Amino acid sequence: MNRITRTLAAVAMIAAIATPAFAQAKGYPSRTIECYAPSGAGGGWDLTIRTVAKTLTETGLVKVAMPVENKAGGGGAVFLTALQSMKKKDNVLTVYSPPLLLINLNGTTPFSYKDTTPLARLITDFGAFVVRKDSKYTSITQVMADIKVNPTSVKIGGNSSAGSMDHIQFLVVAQAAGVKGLKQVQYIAFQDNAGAAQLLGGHIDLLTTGLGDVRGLVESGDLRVLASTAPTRPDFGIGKDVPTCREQGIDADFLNWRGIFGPPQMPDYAVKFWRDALGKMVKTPEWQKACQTNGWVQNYADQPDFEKFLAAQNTASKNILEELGMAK
Amino acid sequence: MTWNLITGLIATLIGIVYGWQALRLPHATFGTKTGHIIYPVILGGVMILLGLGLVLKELLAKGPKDPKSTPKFGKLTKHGREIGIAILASLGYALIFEPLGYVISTILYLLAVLFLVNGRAKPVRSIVVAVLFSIGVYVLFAVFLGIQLPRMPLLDI
Amino acid sequence: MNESLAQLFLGFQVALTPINILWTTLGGVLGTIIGMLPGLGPATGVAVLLPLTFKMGPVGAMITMAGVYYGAMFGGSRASILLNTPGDGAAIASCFDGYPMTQKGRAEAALAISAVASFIGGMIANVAMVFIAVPMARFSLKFGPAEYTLLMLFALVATAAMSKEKMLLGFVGMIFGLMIATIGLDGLTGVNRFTFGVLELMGGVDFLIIIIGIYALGEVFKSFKTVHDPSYKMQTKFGKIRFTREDWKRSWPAILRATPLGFFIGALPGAGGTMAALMAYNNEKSLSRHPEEFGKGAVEGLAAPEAANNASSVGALIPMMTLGIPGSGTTAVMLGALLMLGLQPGPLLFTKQPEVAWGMIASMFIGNFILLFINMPMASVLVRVLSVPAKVLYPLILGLAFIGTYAITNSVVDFFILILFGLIGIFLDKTKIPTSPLILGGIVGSTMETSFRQALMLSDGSPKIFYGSPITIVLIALTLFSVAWPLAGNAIKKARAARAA
Repeated sequence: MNRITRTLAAVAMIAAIATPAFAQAKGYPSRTIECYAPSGAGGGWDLTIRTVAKTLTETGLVKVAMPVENKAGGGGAVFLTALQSMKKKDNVLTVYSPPLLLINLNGTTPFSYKDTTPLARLITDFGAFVVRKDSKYTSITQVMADIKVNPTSVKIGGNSSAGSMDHIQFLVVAQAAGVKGLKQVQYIAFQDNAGAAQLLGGHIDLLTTGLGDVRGLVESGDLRVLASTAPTRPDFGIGKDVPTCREQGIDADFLNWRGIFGPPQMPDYAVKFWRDALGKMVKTPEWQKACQTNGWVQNYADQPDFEKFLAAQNTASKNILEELGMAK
Repeated sequence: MTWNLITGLIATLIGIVYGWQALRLPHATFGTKTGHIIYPVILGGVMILLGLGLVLKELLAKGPKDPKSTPKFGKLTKHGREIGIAILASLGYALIFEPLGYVISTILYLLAVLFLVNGRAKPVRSIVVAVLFSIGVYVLFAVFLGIQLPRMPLLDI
Repeated sequence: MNESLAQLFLGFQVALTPINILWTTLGGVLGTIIGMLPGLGPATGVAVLLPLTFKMGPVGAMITMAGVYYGAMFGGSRASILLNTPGDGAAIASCFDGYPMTQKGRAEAALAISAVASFIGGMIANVAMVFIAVPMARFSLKFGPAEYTLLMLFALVATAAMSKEKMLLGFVGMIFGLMIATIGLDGLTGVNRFTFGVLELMGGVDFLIIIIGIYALGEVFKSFKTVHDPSYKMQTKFGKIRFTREDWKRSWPAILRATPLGFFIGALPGAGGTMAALMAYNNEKSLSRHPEEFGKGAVEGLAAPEAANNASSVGALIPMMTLGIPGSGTTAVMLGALLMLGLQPGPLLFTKQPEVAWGMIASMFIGNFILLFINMPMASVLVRVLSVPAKVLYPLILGLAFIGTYAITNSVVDFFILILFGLIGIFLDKTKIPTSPLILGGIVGSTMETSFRQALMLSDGSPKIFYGSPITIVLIALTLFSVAWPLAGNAIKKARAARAA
C-alpha cells in the first residue's frame, strides 16, 4: 500500500514537471475554446459572450467548439482571480464591462484591466433610471431636486453591489445635477436581479439598472424610464423613446461598454487570430441582427484603440470614485 | 466529558473568535458604514450564549450518563486511521487534479481509495473500476454535458 | 377562467405535436439524469442545453428547459433515497426518511412514493399555474426586504426547533450555517468578510459543496466502519417498484398539504426548492401524531418534500413568465435563453407569444405523465445500484462528490472546502448536531442578512418595518408558534409520564 502510494506520487511529480507549455501557432485554433462569463447565467455578460460564441461558430469564422462556462461571484472579481492562473493560455476568452475597472478602483480586487489581454470592444449599453408607473416622478430632475433637500428621501435600488456600476452611474448623474453629500445618498444593492421586483412591489422608489434589463416591464407599461445615461438617443430599441439626462439639463452620461478579453500574456498568434475574427464578426448580418434584438449599440474598437479607451476610462472612473470618496 | 459539553465549549470558542474577527473588519467607505459588522457580531454573540447554554445544561444534568454520549479517546482505531488516509488521499487529489488532468488524477485517486478499502483483495477489479469510472465520467461531463474538465497534458484528452 | 381554459387548449395544440412531445420527453429525461448526479442541479442542466436551444426555436426551447427543471426534481431524490447523498439542495429533505426506508429494505416503496408524490405535486401546481399565476405574481411582490427576513427566519427557526429535545444543538447548527453564509464579498458595502485573503472565497462558499461534503463524504467516511464487517450484505433481491396501501394512506394528506406550500415558496423570487422541501418536512413532522417515526423511515416524511420541491419548480416559473423577473438560478438561465431567442419575457409574453407561454404550460402536464411512466422502470434499474459491493460503491461516491464539486465552480479551491466539510460531517454525526438547520442556514443566510440590512436602510433604521405589515405579523406569529409547539409537546409528554408514574 505504502509503496504504491509513494510510486504514484513520484509518477505524478514527474508528469507535472515534464509538461511543456508548447506553442502551437499553426492551424490555430485546433482545440476547444473555453469561454467564460464572469457572472451567473442570464445576465448581461452571459448574454454577450454567448451571443459572440454563437455568432462566431454559426458564421464559420471559428471552426472549433466554443462552450460557455459561468464563474460568478464578487461582481466579476472571482473570475478575474481565476483568470490569473490561466496566464499565457491561448484558448480562453471572457467578457467584461465597466465593473472590470470599478472593482479594482474601489478595492474589491487587487487585479485590474492590466491583468488581462483586451482584444476588442464590441457594444455599448446605457444605464436607465426607472420608476413604477404610478410614481410621482416624471423626470430625473425632480428626483435630484428631492435628493438635494434630503439625501435619504428617495430609496434607490440597483442590481450591482455598492461601489459598482449601477451605483456609480447614478452618482455620476447626481453629481452633475449638483447634489451635495453624495455619500448620504441611500443605495440599496439587491442580488439575483431582484431589484425590478422590489420596485414593482413598492419597496424602493427608483431603480438604477441597464436599459435593456427592464425592457419587458417598460413595454407593458408597469415601469417608466425617467432617463437614460446615453449621450444622445440611439435610433432604435427602447432607448429611442427615452429622454437622456442631457436632454433634461444634466450634463452627464455613462457608457456600459462591453468587450472581449483574453488571459494575461495571451500568445501573439492567438491575439492576432481573435482580433481578426472579432473584426470580421461585427460586420456579419447575424451580429447586426443580434444587436438589434438586444438593443445594443454597436461600438467596435480593435485592440490598440480599445486599450487606449480602457486607460482613459480608468482615469475617468478613478477621478469619479475619488470625488465620491470611494476609491481605495 | 460528554459530546454535549465538547460541543458547548467549541461553540463558545467559535462564537468568540468569529465575533472578534467581525469586530476587526474594516469600516465601509460609503452607505451604512457598520452594517456588515453588526450582523456577524450578533451571530457571534448568539453562538456564545448557545454554547454556554449547552455547557450549563450538561453540568446541571442529573442522573446517569448514557455511555454513547461520551467520546472515547485513546488509541486511534482502524476506522479513524482509514478516514485519515482517505482525507490525505483527497488532499493529494486536489493537488494533482489540475496539473495531471481529470482522467489520470482520478484514476490515481480512486486506486488509492479502492486499495484502502479492499486491501490486497481483488486488485484487478479495483483497477478496472478506477479506469472505467474516470473515463466514463470524463466522457459524460466533458463530451456530453460540455463541462470543461482539466485536460491531460501531452495527450490532451 | 374560461379564457385561461381556451388559452390552455391552444397550448395543448402546440404541445401535442410529435416534435414537442419529443422535446418534453428529452427535457424530462435529461433533467432526471442531471438531477441524480451530485452537484448538478436544474440550473446546470438548463445551461448545458443552451447551445442546443438555438436550433429548437422558442417553443421547443421553453418546453425542453421546463422539462429539465421539473425532471431534475424527479431525479434529485434518487441518490438521496439510495445512497444518502442528495443530488442537489431540493433533495436534502428526501434523505431524512428516504434513506432509512432503504436501510429497512424498502427502497422500492421509497422510489415509488417519491415518483408519485412528485407527479401529484407537479400536476396540482400546473393547474394552479393556469388559473392563479397572475394574482400569485402580484402577491409575491408584496414581499419586500422585511418580509423576506422574517420568512427566512421562520423557516430557519422551525427547522432548528424541529429537533425538540436537541433544540439547543439545532440552533448551534443554524448559527454555524449563518456564519458560513457571511463569507465573501458583502454586496451592500463591497467589503470582503472572512476571506482571509483567499480571493476564491470572495464569491462565498457554495452551499451545494457543504451538502456534498457533509452528506456524501460524511456517508463514505462512516461506511469505512461497516464495509469491513463480513456480515454486512448488500441488497441482492429486488421487488417491484410499488408501495403499500398503508403507505398511500399516510402519504396523500402529506402530499396535499405540501403542494400549495411548495408552489407558494417557489413563486417567491429568491426562496427556492430547498426551502420549500425543508418547510414541507417540518410542517409534516409537527402535524404528525407520531413524530418520533420521522427520520426512521416515515413514508409521509418522504412524500411531503418530494411533492413540495416539484410544486416549487412550477411556482418558480411564475415570476419569470409573468414579470420577466428570474425567481431562481434556473429561471435566470431560462430568461437568458429567451432573450437570445429574441423573445421578451414579461407581462406581454402571454399576449404577444401565447403559443410559447401556453405551449410550455401545457407541455408540463404532458411531461409529468411521461416522467411518471419513465421513472417507474428507471427506478427498478437504479435500485440495483444497491447490489454493487460497498467496497466499490463508496470509493465511487467519493469520485462523484469531487466531480460534482468541480462542476459547480470549476475551482480546485473548493476541493479543500469539500474535504473540510466531510470532516465537519463526521463531527456533526458524533455530536448529534442536526444537519438540516446548518444547511438551510448556509443557503438562506446571505439573503436573510442582506434583506435584514436592506429593510433597515429602507426604514432609516427603524425596527417598525419588521412589524408594520400584515404579512410580517403573520410571519412573526408563525415563528413564535414553531418554537412554542415542540416545547409544549415536550411539556405535555412529561406531564403525562409523571401522571402515569
